[in-house]
Amino acid sequence: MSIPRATYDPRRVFRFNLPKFEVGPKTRSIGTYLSGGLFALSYFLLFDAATLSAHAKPPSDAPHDVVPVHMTFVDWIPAICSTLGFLVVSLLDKSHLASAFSGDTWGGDGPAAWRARVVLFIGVALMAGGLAGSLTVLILKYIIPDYTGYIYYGGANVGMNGGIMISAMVLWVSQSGSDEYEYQLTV
Amino acid sequence: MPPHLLTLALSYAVPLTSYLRNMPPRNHDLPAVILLSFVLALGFLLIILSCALWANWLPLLVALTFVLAPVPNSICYRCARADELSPEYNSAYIDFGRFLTGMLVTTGLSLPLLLAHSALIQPAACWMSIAGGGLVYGTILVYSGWFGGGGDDEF
Repeated sequence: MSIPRATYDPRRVFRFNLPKFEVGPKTRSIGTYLSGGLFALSYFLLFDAATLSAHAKPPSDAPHDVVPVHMTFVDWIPAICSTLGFLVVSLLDKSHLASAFSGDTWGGDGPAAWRARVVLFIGVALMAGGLAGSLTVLILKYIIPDYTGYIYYGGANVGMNGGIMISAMVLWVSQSGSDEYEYQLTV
Repeated sequence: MPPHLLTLALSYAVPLTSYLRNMPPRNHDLPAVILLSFVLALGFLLIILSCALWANWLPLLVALTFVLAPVPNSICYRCARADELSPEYNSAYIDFGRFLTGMLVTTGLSLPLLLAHSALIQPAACWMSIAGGGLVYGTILVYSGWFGGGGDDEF
């Protein structure tokens, strides 16, 4: 690059830079472990609700009633959306995005950067759609019909989708540093 | 405790310790190895007791998860090492292995809680299997940290 990076760069388009987190290799590995743990934990929140629903018994004072609501496929659709969005965002190569958002007119505003931006948009939209869908399921299926004893199913669904989103954020931040081996080569 | 349960637990634990012992050791630390194998046997004993005392073998999944937990890291470490010197060295394998390890460890911790929450197992069985799984995984961690390959093969 011929022009050195400065705080003010006349070729910039955006007023703020894409935040660049400089993480070391230690933070990188810890963040990756943490992200995997959060992913599994959010899935187990949903599995917990599903297992509870599958083994739900009618209340003991009225043993011949039926359980009014169960978890069905509708409860799983937001989880599927969130997981797809998580996969898309995590599999994206971050180096294309750095050039796409730096506002550098020479750097990499090529087709790869354009595609990376579109794919990132789709992934984040899928995750946000999953979160919104879980809120919809919570409100329409559990709050409005007033199933007060079964509101945990909807709450676990919201928690699961939020957990997947936080896991994607943790993974993003921990992966945004340079690779360890690259660092060793330059030194 | 009935004695056949102890022999059952030891019969599960002994092949694994002998497998670990046959790995090429760096420096012979015999008391540490014996202590570690005792801890491993204790972990398996706790897990098998948590299954056998209530005749409900669902917590055995925890042992399976914790034993499988170091596998992704070792596989992915070998995968990434194949092209270590090439300029486009890709650390994605190692990161994927770490992600899977985090998932497996969290699975082993949260699966008994799930089963206990749905009243499929007793709460005591839940805590016993978590403690046993933690002992087994801690043994594998400490063993690979002391005698493992070169120290860069972290789990």
